[in-house]
Amino acid sequence: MSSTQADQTLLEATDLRVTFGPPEAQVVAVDGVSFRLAPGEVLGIVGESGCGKTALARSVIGLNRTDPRCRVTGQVQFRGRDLLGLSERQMRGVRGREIAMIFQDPLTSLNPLQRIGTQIGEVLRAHTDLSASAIVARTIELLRLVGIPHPEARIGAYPHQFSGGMRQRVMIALAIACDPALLIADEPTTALDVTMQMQILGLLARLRQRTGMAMILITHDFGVVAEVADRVLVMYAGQCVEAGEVGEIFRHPQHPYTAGLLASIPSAEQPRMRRLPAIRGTPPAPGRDRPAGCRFRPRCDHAAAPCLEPPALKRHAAASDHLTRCWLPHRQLEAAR
Amino acid sequence: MSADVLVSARDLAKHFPLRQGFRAHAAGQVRAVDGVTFDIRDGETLGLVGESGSGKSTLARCVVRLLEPNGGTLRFAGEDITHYHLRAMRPLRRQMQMVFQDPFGSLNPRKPVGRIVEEGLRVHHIGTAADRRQRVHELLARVGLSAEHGERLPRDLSGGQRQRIGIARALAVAPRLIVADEPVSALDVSVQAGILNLFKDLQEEFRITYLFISHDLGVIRQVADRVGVMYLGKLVELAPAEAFYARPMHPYSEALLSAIPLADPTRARARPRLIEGDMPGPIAPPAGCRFHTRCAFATALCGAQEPVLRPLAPEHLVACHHPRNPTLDSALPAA
Repeated sequence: MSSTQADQTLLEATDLRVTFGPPEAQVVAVDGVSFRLAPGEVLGIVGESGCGKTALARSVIGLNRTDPRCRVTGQVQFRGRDLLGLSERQMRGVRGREIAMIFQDPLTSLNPLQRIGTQIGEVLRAHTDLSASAIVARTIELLRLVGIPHPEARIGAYPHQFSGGMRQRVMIALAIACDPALLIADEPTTALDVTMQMQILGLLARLRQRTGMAMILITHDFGVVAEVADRVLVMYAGQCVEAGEVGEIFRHPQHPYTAGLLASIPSAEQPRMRRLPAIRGTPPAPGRDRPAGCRFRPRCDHAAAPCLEPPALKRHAAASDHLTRCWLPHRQLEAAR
Repeated sequence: MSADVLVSARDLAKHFPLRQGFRAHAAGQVRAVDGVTFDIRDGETLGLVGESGSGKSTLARCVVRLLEPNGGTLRFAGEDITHYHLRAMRPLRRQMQMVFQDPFGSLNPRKPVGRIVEEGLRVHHIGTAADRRQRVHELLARVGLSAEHGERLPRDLSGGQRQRIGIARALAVAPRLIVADEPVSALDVSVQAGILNLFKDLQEEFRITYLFISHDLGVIRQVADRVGVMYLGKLVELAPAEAFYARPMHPYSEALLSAIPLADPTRARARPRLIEGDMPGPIAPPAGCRFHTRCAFATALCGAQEPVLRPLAPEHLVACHHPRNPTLDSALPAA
């Protein structure tokens, strides 16, 4: 690989597969997903519950590698190393320093018995050789950066003394403590009210501009993706069904699932409709009852005979990086709409 | 009171004592609902929005009298039910039902869902056993499930199917009012639309009145005839849905609308943002207008005097000293 190519790719996952349970009762959470992330890029991974998006994110950072029921195969190239091949000890050097993660529920992710200053300091102690006083100074700087008022006074506070939105800010301060090259955010605003969600998304966008870190943003909410992502990967039943540049996906969704999902979001901007366009049925549970052929077939309005065979993920137009996993040529779908 | 009003709340309040320490002495009050006045008209959907902690769920529980208000009055079909005892409420429970957010937590995990749907019929001694079985099958079919689903336990159903059971249970006793507290918030987007459509169909078919609570202004726009916005236990705006979305008058409503993530990348990133900070707690709400600590338009008056909810356009009530988007005639001082 030439050095320029290496510069352009920060992380590349190839044929990532995550399974749980013994071989005879195996649940396939992620079924061969590949994607690529450039430095500073924000990739939004969207999907409904059970589609495998969280398992995918956790396997990138190796959070499920100590789980004996879980098996991860494929490749995750990050800055020239395959993360899946690293030992747990080596992985610990990557986690927190080069790749950090924030979760949906900031309360259960923080230690309730430790002051938040101590918790941020712990990350800095583990990954840097700053002196004790430099650690305190850096902690205060981080808290100020994420918008915590009076950070000098707040470093001595416990997590329960913060509101949900402020706790998520503390989590973000923890995550960016060592200037990671990649931040994985798993539903970072789902537990928050809209006004706080807006503030946290704004903060993430500002941090990315300032530090140049790349982000993988996992969410069920297309609105959140539209706010911050550069590229989108749509997951359904463990597979990537559509991927591309964010504007492309929103303006010209190619897969019937993406199009249906976008159409079914109740909008505050659209006058009341007599009926909302809905997708029939429910998403299949991981592992079980996944239909043969195209996995979206039982819920799809355009399903036809070819859909009994599994479609491949392919380019929707020759020169584009817009991928879709559907048998039907897009003209036919657009005409049907 | 006019005949087409089903629920009428006047200055309704619900305060919870805050207990502290070994003796559990009262150390203050959580003023969850603090003087709220509104009507719900027969056959309409009143949508109620607000952030967590605004008091919307407490208000919902007061309306169906799962909680007893400790201030103001509550009338249902003209009858003052503010302080009715359990026994007095029982016949009225047939007329008012509730659908909850968590369709798993609100269904008995050890009962087949058909039995859960039937329970209301048995409690109210409606029909014979055979009649009831027949009615359960009809109800399941009406919410889009088969009779076979009725044999299953809640855990064997998906989230959307469970919420359909929650709706069938509410529907069983043929209520006039259904209070739905965040009924689609726990559901996947692709399932949400189907449930919202079901609510609409049932309303058309049975002329049910809804009090529909959601934090999602998109959901509310799609179901509500009128919209109420709550902030820290107060109703700050109450308006016909179209007028509300076209010209929100309370700065908080405007801020809420500006905070919704838009499923449109170009416009989402170009919008101005109108709100900062966190909602203060309901234990010691700010004096004056409760929103003034976060409001971009607040003046000294807002910190000193609490604005009253008053009409600024036909049917459009706002509690604000400096309303946004006022219509021309309403901007004039009242004669």
